[in-house]
Amino acid sequence: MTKTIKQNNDFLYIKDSNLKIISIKDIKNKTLIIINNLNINQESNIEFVLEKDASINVLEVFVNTKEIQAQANRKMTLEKNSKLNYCKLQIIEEDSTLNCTYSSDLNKDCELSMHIIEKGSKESINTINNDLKKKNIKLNINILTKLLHKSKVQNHIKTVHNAQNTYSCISNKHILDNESSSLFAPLSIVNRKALYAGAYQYSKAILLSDNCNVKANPHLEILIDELKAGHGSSIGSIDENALYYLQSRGIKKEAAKHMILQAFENDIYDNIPSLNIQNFIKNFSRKAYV
Amino acid sequence: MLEIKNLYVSIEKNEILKDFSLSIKPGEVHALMGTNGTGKSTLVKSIAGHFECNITQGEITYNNKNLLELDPNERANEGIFLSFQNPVEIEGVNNSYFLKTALNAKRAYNNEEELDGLEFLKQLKTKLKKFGLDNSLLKRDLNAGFSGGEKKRNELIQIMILSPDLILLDEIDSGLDIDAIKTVAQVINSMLDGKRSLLMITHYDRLLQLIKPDFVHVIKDGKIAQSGDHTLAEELDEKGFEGLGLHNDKNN
Repeated sequence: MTKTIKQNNDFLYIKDSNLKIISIKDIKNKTLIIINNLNINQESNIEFVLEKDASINVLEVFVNTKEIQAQANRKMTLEKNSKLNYCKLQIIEEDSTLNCTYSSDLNKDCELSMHIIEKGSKESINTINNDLKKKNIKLNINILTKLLHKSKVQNHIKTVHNAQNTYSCISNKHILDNESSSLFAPLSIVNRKALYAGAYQYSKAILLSDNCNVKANPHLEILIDELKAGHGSSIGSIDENALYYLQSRGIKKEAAKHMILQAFENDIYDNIPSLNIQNFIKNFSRKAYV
Repeated sequence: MLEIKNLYVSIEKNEILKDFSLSIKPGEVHALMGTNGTGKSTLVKSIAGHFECNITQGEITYNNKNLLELDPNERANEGIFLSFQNPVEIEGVNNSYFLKTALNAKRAYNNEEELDGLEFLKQLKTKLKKFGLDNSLLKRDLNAGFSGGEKKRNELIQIMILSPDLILLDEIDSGLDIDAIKTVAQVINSMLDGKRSLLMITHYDRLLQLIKPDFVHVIKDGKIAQSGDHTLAEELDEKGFEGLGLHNDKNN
């Protein structure tokens, strides 16, 4: 089934898990919100097709009411000079597993921005593959992994630069508590054709318990000299000096901790290019959708 | 107001304060001077409950309460304010939101009604205007990317908003130009109402010329070696610690 989005509303809501293709034409800066309340063993496939010069903000919400073993496959096809701001908000509870794969067909001068926000997921694997095969493609992937209990999340992200002036920045922020674990495994390859490319990878983790763990393996394979590249990874607990500073101004320890963690999270939200999506996420209540 | 008796404080197994005693009464202004590493900052941090300070012996009472039993936030809400030498930068926490949260935490502690955003901003702007402090700092994240002078101005804004009863200034004048030191003095002097007390750490006589201390103490090897009135600071400015035999033994 194909749905073509050409409406003039500010928000477009879709609650249809049978959708196969969402085609976006003659639209600029609209916000599309898709609610996925997944069923047991469900497989969901959607291709987003942006025509030339189109731009859209897409928020996909994944929630569940029962224990699930689900698979979601997404493809982003961006024609020349189009722009997709894609955001995934995933709050999966119960003993569930959700695997998401993302692939793309990106064309010249297009821009793909992905924000992946995962909270409370029991087990989740994101596999993201992007081939930057045309000139001037810009790719930003920002992931927030906020986990409790025994949740496990893996992010495998492969980016291949195959054309001039392509840019990628892959970043993962982790807030882990209890016995949760998070794996960040980005692989960015810059091939010989990708002169003047930019390739960056970052990971920042705050660990709130002794039993949680994060594995961050930034990996760049670079075959040319004419590029800009960088990677960095930091792991730590909450900055004691920051915590003390807030406490010394009368704020209780738990509230101070919450402020610092919220600030760490807000950095991801504030970078979502759509204010509509930012506000939706900040005010999101899972209860309203399950 | 504040009674410190026979205090011993260690930081990472190094004993910094040794048998330190000091009494501050309501309305008094005290200045604490001394060479580097003598324990000045450790003292004010111990009063404010800093996690690095391990108090091994002694007592600190504040308004007849055992301060050592209180958490740092409780000490703050009891009316103690420590202005830091190097205020920490916290990205992502809006300065105005932080100030409102801190003020409302104090109001809640004192069983007062919390202020809404509008009332808070009204009070804040009135106080900033009084001292010609601009409100651009409030829109930014807490101390994030602030210059040294901006950080100190932000500490002053917090003092004005939180109206503490005991103000501890840890080298608030360091790195400030003359005009900025004058602003510090103007704000602090306006708050000295005869009930509020001040303990300031400084290396320079300039601040003490603008905020006249009732008592000047020189700390040496973790305890007060000499006390006097403001003329002691003038003498120190002229002769130096070494000239008065008040140089820390560790530094010799």
